[in-house]
Amino acid sequence: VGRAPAPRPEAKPKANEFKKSRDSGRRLAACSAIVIVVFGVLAVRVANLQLMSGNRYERLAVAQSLRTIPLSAARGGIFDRNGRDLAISIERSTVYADPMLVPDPITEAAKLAPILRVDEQYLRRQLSARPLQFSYLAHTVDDATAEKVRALGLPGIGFVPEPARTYPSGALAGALLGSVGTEGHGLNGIEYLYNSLLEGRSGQLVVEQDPQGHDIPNTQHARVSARRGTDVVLTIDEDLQWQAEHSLLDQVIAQHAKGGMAAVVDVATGDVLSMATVRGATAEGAARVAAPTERNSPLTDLFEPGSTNKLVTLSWAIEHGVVEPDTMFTVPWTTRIDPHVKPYKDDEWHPPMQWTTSDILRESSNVGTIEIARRMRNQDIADALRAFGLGTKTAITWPGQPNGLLVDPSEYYATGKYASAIGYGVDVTAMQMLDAFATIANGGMTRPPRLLDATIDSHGTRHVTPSVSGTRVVSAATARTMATMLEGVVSGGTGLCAAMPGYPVAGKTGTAKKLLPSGKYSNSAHMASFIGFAPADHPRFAAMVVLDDPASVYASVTAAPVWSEIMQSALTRYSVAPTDATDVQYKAAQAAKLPGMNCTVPHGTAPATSPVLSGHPAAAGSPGSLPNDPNPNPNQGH
Amino acid sequence: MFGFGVATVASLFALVAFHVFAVQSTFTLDRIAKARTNEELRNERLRAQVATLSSPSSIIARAEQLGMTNDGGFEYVQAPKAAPKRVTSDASQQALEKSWKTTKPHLGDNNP
Repeated sequence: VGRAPAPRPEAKPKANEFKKSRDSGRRLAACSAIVIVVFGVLAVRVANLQLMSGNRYERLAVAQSLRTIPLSAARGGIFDRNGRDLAISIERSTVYADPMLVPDPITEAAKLAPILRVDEQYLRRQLSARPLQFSYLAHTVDDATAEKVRALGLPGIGFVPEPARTYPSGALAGALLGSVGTEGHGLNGIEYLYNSLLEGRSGQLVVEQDPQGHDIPNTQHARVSARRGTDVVLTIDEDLQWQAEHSLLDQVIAQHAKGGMAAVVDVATGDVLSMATVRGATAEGAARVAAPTERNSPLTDLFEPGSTNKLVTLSWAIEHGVVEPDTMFTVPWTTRIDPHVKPYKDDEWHPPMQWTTSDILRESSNVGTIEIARRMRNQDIADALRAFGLGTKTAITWPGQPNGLLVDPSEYYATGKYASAIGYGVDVTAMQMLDAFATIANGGMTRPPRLLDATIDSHGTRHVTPSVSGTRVVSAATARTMATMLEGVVSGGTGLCAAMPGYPVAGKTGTAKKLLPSGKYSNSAHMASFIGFAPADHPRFAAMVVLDDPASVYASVTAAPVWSEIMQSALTRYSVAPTDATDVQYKAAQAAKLPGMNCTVPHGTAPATSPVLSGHPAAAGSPGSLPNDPNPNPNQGH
Repeated sequence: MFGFGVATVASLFALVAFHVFAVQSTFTLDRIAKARTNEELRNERLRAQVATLSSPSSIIARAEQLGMTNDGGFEYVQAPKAAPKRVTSDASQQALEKSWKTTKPHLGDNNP
């Protein structure tokens, strides 16, 4: 009883508190340590990701979110000398299919085939090409066709824009302009020659996209703008080109020829105003202007010029004092060079004539020209040919343009000199021969031809192509003399049909037998040509027309009328004032014509196909000739 | 402190507004670019159409549709005979004759 409670120990609570405090400190330290360790690990990982693997993940992220859109460059246009479009690129629709979304390929192919004008079997294959998700059905269809396909509302059919090359004038100058492949690269002609200029430079746009593949606005990362292709301005005149092609085509049809070539150049500048190629009728189709995939014959096809080459021989002979225009020769109708070789003959029989050099040219006498060549050395003939540019490419850069073939004078043997003098054993392009006549028209100085007038870059700056300076071949006096002699050919010789009212014409016919693969000359196939310039007293244009194997053997009634028609168009179009107001030459030519001589080109009257040529190959240009044929013996002049 | 908060909110609002404006501008730019592309395409198509319709073959085809034919020849109109001689002073007459012979040699001795 009355026992007092024992006092509580004081030290015990203090120890507990201390212990609690110590435990929480430890826990805090442990947590801190854990946090530090965790963050440390994270930091290490982040550092590892950022510093060690950063580039790799950045690349992966970019690949996942960025998209590169190619920006195609618009192909440059091709213009004529007056700025008219000859070739332009416009965007059209290409029709494609996603075969995975096409439920019924057979039905869809049947509906699409007549609209797209594509083989139905091909469409079926394309529409059934699973597991592909993209297959082309038709490239660059026109707007109307695309609209018809769109109206069908077929599942799995889509459209992508694609640039298409368009030639507004259709087949005009096809072989000259060439074509472009589906990849947008030039394949032939000007399109191929100037492809690096025309195609421009592609660009690209890099944008960010969402997981669904949609572009996210305002996230453009990089842009390399496409640079439009350079425009090309040709020296060609579209209207004159059309005239040349259609005059030539009508005559090719009328004469059942295998083909033809024509070109017009401006004598003062060398500008080629037209360059036409026509293919004759074949068993497969009617005569037509050469297609873009075919050769541009005036620059690529070799043939033996025949009598037009007498210009070269006589110019050189006059220039070097071998003969004068009035030097007299006794000219029989046949002459023998070598006892082992057949004699050379003039085109028609005539008694031995006392002819001047001018008469020989006017009558296109082979024998007379050979008489002149007798006074020249082998080297003279070779020098003459070289000086007028034969055996060398023209100044026009053109794929596949040959040099031509000239026989080395050391290999002329007995007849080579004489054959060359009358245009055999010499292979030339039509443009080379036109160059030779343009040289005489230009007062004896060459006038290298130009086909590229200018380029217009993507900024719109026009860069004019400089003219190539000419070289003197013969003196101005010789050129004037030759022009006068060539006027005589048209006034009263073999070129009557080239005469035109108002303008004196200087020119020369040429008819050359074609060399057969056997090495002998054909008795029926020949090349007929007329090359000349007008007005003869103040030359403005030089032109050539060559027909491959026309029905008539006389170039005077086949090539010369076409030449006259084309030249009249050129003179009228360029407002060249008539210089022969009293029509002296024209009246003389009319008076000299034989009865029944037809000097017109029959427009649109000839049949479109030629039964004469059925089964014949449609090869334009000659099959070539042996360059070193010691005995061409064509026996034919004119 | 209050001022700082207001400034922050205002800045954020301005930032959002700017972003919205930028996005809207991008849409507008895209729309304009698309319109420009369409107009360029239309221009190209019209240019091709003009070139096609003005090509020689189209004109000839249209002319033939209208019944026109090519007569296949050229008619050159000759200049009329010179006018009667005018009465002028000797000096001016000589100058005229000299000029005439220089510029019109093909018309011979016909004086103006």
